[in-house]
Amino acid sequence: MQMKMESPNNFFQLTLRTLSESEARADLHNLSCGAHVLFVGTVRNGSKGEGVTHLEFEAYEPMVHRVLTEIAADLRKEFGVTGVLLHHRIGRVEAGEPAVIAGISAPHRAEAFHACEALMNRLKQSVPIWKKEFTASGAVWVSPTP
Amino acid sequence: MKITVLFFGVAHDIAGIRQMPLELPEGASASDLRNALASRFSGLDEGLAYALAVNEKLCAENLVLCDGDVAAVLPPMSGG
Repeated sequence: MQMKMESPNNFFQLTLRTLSESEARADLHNLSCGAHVLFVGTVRNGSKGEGVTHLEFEAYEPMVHRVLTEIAADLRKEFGVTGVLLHHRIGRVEAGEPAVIAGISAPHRAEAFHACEALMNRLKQSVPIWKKEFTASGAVWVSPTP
Repeated sequence: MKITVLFFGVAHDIAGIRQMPLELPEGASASDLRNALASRFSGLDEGLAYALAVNEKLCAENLVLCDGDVAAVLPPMSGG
């Protein structure tokens, strides 16, 4: 594990280890919440018609912590959610493996679904993590996707 | 003054290094840093739209840098 940062109701990890959905569920579990939403993003085995063997992720780790803390605070203000979780791989991740787990706990499901989508969108826009895609024809840094 | 510059993603490939010390005149701004990097690494002056962070915060171009600052070259992010 590279970085595990937990404060009450914030659960952030950057890790070289395989991500665990059960660990994420356990981190996020909160008796005051009736909704626990987890999104699991996995590495596709192809992109733009070409086979992808693996990805490599790198992160500016201290800034990841800072930005995620800000995003979590914003999500609480906007959606009234309780727990905010982001477990993200760094280093090499094979096709088929999970690269990210995003999770939200909230009293009710509507805000949990919306906040989880917002968390993923903000991850892609503003959290300093980059991925390089490896195919038979070489490697390329991936451009941001909506 | 002396600052440290970190390179991530494609900027790391362009610069060929992960970090370097850099001497800048007193009072230099983030914009001055951008120009200094462009003159040293041509690839950073050829259409790579990157953000600058100073001490882990995104900064405005007119931010005045201080001795000991840590600046980071952040290409468009692509986590997830």
